[in-house]
Parts: sequence; C-alpha cells; structure tokens
Amino acid sequence: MSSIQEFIFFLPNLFLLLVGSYVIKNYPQFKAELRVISWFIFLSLIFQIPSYILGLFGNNNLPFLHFYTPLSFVCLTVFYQRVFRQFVHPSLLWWIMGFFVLFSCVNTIFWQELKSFNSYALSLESVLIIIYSLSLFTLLLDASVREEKRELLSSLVWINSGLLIYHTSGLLLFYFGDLLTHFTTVKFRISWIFHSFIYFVLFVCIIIGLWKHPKK
Amino acid sequence: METPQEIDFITMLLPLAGIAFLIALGVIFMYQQFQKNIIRQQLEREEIKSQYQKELLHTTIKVQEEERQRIANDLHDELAAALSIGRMQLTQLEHEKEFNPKRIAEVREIMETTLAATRRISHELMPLQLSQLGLEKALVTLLKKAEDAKNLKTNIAVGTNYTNLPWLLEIALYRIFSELINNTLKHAEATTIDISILRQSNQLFCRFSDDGKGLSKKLLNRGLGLQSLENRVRAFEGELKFGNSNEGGFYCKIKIPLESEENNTKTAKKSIK
Repeated sequence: MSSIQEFIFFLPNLFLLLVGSYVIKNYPQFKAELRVISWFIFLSLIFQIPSYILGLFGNNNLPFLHFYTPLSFVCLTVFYQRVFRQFVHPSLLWWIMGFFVLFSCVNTIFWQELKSFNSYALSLESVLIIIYSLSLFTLLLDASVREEKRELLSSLVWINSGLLIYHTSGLLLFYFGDLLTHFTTVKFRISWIFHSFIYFVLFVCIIIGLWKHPKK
Repeated sequence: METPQEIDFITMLLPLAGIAFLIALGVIFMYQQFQKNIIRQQLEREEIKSQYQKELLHTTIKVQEEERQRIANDLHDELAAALSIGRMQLTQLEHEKEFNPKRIAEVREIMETTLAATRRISHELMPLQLSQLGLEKALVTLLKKAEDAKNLKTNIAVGTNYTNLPWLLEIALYRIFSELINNTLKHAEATTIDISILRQSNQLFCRFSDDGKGLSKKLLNRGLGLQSLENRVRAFEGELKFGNSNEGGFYCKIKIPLESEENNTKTAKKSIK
C-alpha cells in the first residue's frame, strides 16, 4: 500500500518534468496565452520539486505553498486576462489579482502562518479560478468568439477543463481541510493522495492543450 | 486514535452553498461583461462594414467619373482638335479655285490621324483582342506590352477548362489584370509577373503575383485602386485577397463562383446598373 501511495505522490512530479521538457522545447511556437501556461508550469516545477524532496525527508514543506499560491494565481489570471482580452475591462482582472495577492500575504502574516496549511488562500484561489473557468466556457458558447479563437479553441478547452477539474476538487479538499485535521493521519494522507491525483489530471489536461497548440 | 468531533450538517453545508452562490454570481457578472463587449464589438464591426460599403460606392463613382473625364479629354484633345484643323483646311480648299493635291493630301493625313486616334480610344474602351480572340490572348498581348515597356519577364498559365466564361466576367477579369499589371509597372519595380487562371468545378481561381517591393502598409489597408478591383470581384459575388508574399512582392488571389452562367451575368448586370 505504502509503495502505491509513494508512487501516486511521485506521479505528478514525474509528469510535471515531462510537461516541463515539452514546454522548453516548444515555447517559441506558443501563442501569448499558452506562453503564460508555460510560466505556470515552470513555476510549478520550481516549487513542486524542492517541496517534494523536503516532504520525502519528513520536513515541513508548507512554506513553499504560501509563496506558490499567489504566484500561481498571478500566472493563471494573466492567462485568463489574455484569453478574455477584448471581452472584459483589462483592469478588472488586475484588481482581482492585486486583491488576491494582498489577501494571501495577510493570511500568511496574521491567520495561517508559514508553517501551517494556507487553506483560506487556496480556497479563495480555487473559487476565483472556477469563476474564470466557467466564464470562459460561457464565453465560448458564442459562435463569434469561437470563430475568433478558432486556432486556440482546442487548447483552451483542454487547459480550462483541467483547471476547472483541479480547482473544483481542490476547493472541496481545502474547504474540508479543517475537518481533515480531526481525522486520523492515515485518512489525512488519503486526502493528499487524492490531491496528487487531481494535480496529475491537471497536468494531463494542460499537456493535451499544449499539444494541440496551433502548428505553423 | 483521536475521536472525530461531531459535525453539524447545516454548519458544514451552508458555507459551501454560500461559496457556490458566490461562484454563480461571479460567472453571471463575467457573462454580462462578455455580452456587453461582444455587442459593442458587433456594432463596431457593422459600423466598419457600413463605412467600407460607403467608401466602395464613392470609389466606384470616382473611378467612373475619372474614366469619363479621360475619355472626354481624349475626344477633346485628339479628335476634336484634329477634326477642327481638318474642317479649317477643307474650308480653305472650298475657296481655292484650282485643284491642290498637296492640300488634299494634308487633309487626308489629318483624317488618318483622327481615325487612328479613334481606334486607340475605342481599343482602350474595349480591347479588340478580348472580343475577337478571347481573354487568354488579350492577356498575353497585355503582358507583351508590359514586357516591352519595362523589360519584364511574364508568365501566364491558363487551365484548359476555363472557357465559356460569361462575357461580362471576361471583361471584368481583363480590367482587373490590366489594373494589376499597371500597378506593378508603376510602383513595384518588379522583374517578373505571373498570372494563372484555373477553373475547378464551379469555381474560377485567378492569381496574380510579382516579385516587386510589395504593397505599403497604407495600401494594404485597401487603397483606392484595390477597392475598385474588389468592387469588380464583388459584382460576381467573388472573393479577393491580396497582400505581400513571404518571399517579397505582391500577390492577389481571386475566387469567383460559377454556379450558373446566367446567374453571373445577372449579378454583374445588376451591379453595373
């Protein structure tokens, strides 16, 4: 059982490395929107790998999460900002981004300190990404928008689906995070295995989305 | 093992419902923003389209007026002047009592010059080769003239099955290629011109290209001459695309539907009216 758990923990990291190498190889061919997703992957690599290694040695890797959360949100907001360009006022997403980064800092300083799990920031991030994601699907219902985004449509749908799946599942996980602390260590660990699995699903959707990028 | 605490079902579900409500509100807000902007963009597009239609109409009228002006100038400067001199000389001959073959030869020469000018003006209005020999030969003649004028190399490729085009379409294509060749000679500094005409089932595909310096940015945004070309193509419900090719130089692609010859003729007649 333990070795399977270790494998599931390791799986997203291995996959992240593969996605990273694909992104490095194809970065110049990506359009502006997909380049931001590449930044998100690089950022995930930078934080995820050391965090995994620290976790392996039994050290607390939660401080990484406090930095990763606002940075990843910035990346994803810039991604949606580029996708929603022409359809929403550009400053709206900047305000949301600023508000979230501020909230995340306040949360780390006053409520959930560096060595604790930043569930509030993660929950809020998930809520905002779900709003972005569902909004993109409603936007794509319009035929003229689909025509305008024709080249990127497939990539956008895959990446957006991945983000929606990850953050919806993640929201439930983070929302019930407080409850998890009341469970035994084994059950707590199971919930993180589930997180690893949806994290893996996210990167599968992202790699398919990037794979379907418009070829020259 | 720690005993799980009792969880109040309502306390647990209410915030979750609140979050779901918040997400729904967020999505509705974004949806409204999108709709507002999509409608604004559609209105802008309609405005641009209407503006473009207006410009096309103005260009058509302008081109027609310029053509009329040119014909009027040709008639006035060449025919009227020559006929006036001829009339003067004939008046003088009327008063001369002796037979003067030298003066009669002068009048004949003036008449011949006038006749040649009439032919030239007439050919410019409707090229003889086009009506007698067809589009391909007319284009070959046009390209030959271009070769002589600028030391160009020209190529023309015409599919075997392009014949039996409506007469109005042939005239339009002749005018279009004539205009394109003229533009290349005037502005492009090109060394080669390529023309191809191909009919595939019910579509006619034409392509013109040169290896000159291409279009400037201003002209790429639809210059006056190109608007008149577009107008001619639209008269046949066709599509016209032009721009600068990757290798340098200008290209123009024309696609005209040929569903039925009657249709084409009717459409063109309607547009000309």
